[in-house]
Amino acid sequence: MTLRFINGLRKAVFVLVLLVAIVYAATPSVSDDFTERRITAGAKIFRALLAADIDIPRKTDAGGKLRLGLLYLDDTGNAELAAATLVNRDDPRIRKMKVHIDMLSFTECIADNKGRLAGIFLTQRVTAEQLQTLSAFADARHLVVFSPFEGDVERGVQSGIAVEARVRPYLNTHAMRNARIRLKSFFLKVAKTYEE
Amino acid sequence: MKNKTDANIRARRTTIYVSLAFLALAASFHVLVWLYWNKILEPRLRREAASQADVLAHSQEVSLVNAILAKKDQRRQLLQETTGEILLFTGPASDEPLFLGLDLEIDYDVVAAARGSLDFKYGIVNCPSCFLTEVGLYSPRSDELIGIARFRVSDRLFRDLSRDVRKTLFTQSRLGTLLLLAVWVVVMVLVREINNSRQHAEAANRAKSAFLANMSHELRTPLNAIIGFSELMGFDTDISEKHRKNLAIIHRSGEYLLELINDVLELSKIEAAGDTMTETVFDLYGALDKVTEMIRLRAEKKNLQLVFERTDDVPRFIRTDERKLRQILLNLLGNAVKFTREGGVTLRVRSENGEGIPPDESDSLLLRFEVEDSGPGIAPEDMARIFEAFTQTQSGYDKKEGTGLGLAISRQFARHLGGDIRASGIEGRGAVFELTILAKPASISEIESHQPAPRVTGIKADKDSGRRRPYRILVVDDNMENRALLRLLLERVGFTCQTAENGRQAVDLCETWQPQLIWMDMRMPELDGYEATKRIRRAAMHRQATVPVIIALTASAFKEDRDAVFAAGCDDFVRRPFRESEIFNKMQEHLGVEYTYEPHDPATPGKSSIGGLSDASFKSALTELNKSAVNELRSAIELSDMERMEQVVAKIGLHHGPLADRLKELIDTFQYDRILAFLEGTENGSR
Repeated sequence: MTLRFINGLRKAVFVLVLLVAIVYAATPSVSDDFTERRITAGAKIFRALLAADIDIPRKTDAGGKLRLGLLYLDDTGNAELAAATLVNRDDPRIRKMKVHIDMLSFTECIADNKGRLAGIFLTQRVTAEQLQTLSAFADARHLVVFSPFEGDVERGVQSGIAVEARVRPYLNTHAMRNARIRLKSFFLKVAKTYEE
Repeated sequence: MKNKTDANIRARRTTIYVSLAFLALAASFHVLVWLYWNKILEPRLRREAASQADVLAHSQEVSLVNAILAKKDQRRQLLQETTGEILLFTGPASDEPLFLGLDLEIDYDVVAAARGSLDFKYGIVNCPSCFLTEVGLYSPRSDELIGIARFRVSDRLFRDLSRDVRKTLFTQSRLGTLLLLAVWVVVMVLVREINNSRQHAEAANRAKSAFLANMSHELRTPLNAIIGFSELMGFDTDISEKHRKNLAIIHRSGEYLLELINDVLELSKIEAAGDTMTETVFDLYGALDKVTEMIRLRAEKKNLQLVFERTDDVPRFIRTDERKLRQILLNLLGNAVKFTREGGVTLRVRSENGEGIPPDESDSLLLRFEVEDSGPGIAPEDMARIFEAFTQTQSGYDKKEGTGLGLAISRQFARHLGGDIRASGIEGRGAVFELTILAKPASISEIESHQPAPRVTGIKADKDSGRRRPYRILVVDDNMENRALLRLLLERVGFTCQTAENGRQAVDLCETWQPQLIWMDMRMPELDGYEATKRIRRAAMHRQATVPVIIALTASAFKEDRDAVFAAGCDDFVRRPFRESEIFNKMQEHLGVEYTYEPHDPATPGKSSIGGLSDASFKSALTELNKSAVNELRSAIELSDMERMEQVVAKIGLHHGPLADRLKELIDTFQYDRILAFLEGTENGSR
């Protein structure tokens, strides 16, 4: 009787541990899916945002290409996904300008030693300190910085996405002003804005 | 009648308060439901509907973008067809279109078309009730924003949904109100039942109080005559010694009966929470000795050892209610002896300062009395209820003694004395009762003298004129004996007296005779003392004459009756049965009368010579009795068997006449402990 009870107890504990492990393993997967969706939707909005930038023709590099930096910290997976979304289009150009994608680490991005960038897309969430450095860098070069991550616009990133019943551009007006980014008024009509 | 009206007013007030509470509850409930709908539920439904409208509008983006980006020659027609189709969509639950209106704004910098050529407006554009949704139209190739479509989405779904939800919510709230109403009805019925029960209980209590007041009056009135006349006759020098003895017996019996009545009334007062403290300064050592001596006889009869321990810090003279303390100790020690079969009973007394004494009693000390016995103890299930009235332990039931009131009364008394009683012990190994009281230490000089006041013999003559001043005193009482007693008492010392049988006669006599002082019985037929007092005062003031002093004579022991006496206009009151000295003292106080007194004779202290035997002679006579007579007498006394006592004394009287007389006198005056003490001192009486 006692032996049977102990065996039953062992089985129950095993099943419980297994369930916990499954739940634990499943959680990051769900989270990753969610991040990937935001990056894909964000990449499209990023293209629309760049197209709405009045000064975008002046932001090309020497070769007349728009250089877009995909910033990563320690993992290039998201950056690769964003790159695929940005270039795998019927017409990957933005306002008829060719696009060149660079996957940059934070240090490389700040150094900008490969030429002039037209915009930066964050593929991983940066720290507050990194964000401060990045903002100063973008303000000095009038660069569009875009983050698909929730809450980053409120933290001070110039632009991002607002996900409600539909996905809309989300702009931090103060940060946009600081970087002297001028957007078409038409674009501003459909964007959600954040006033600090 | 007034009480009944008050009770009705209270009951009505309770009903109103309860009803108002329910009304407030119902109103609050409805306000909350209304707030919930308007502030939470309806806005949430609206947000949900707006969100739904957003999704619906967004789903039309692709077809609109395709039409805008179509070939130039087909674009206009395709756009009209697409928008026409969109405006045809209807919801699944109604025939009304989902989209009531739509307008397009195109970015002609991106779309190659003439400016304004594609900015169409379709359907109802001005629709205030509609949900307005702006949808950005992005090129699927370049992701550029090519235009904005503004949809007017019908709020029909929202209206239908909110109507249904609102209907359900308010129907349920009405059900809630109905339930509240049902609860109100039940509560009203219960309140009514409680009020009825309370009114019945109050009526029963009033009846009990009235009964006690009547009993008190009916018992005290004849006792007044018994005690008063026997006291009066006791001072008569003409009566024989034999009659004097008989009078002494009548007088002491009357006093004993009065004490019994007072005890019964005391119990009633405790129940009515109207008991008061009568503090005096007394010799605690003497009182404890008396108590232990009284118990010692019973303890020794059961071969129990009675031990009394007192620490040196216990003060000898204290101020507290001596009678209550004595009664508690007698009860605790009596119980201990009653329930203990072998071993003994110990009384320990000690004094404590500081801890347990409230700050406002800082000049008091805490006296702790412990009564420990080696009896059967108290069962745990009895421990919690031994202090409840009419409750006895199993041992108490087995013994078939007592009423179960003793400990309840003792605890009440202890609490009146600023302390309490606690019980402890183990079943089968004895019990300990711990009594604490607060008492103020005192000195011997504060002890009130119990010496009898010297007897009044007359009114002192005026110093100047050498003549006695005349005093007119009116005695008003419907009881003939009481009237006669008071008149005899007053006329003996020289007051001029008239009597009246009721209030009406008293009022008439006041008009014609104008007494200086009136002794007024308060309960009389025809016109009672209260009304008579009011009329006498009114009449005297009306004719601008001196208002006579009116002193009430009342047999009531209740404070309310005393208050009523003063409210009627009496100057003072004396409680029946009164003592002669009380009457003369009150007259001295109010009229300023000065008396002459009987000279004090130290050779005749009390009535110790009534039996014709001194203590020494009495003791000597007892030693002459044979052993069986002594044992028989002691046994009869210890069992309080009056009949047997009389038989034994009668037998003794055959050979020892004076001894039998003395014994009879002591028995008649209940001085049993004194007889037993004498018996203990004789050789024959020694065990």
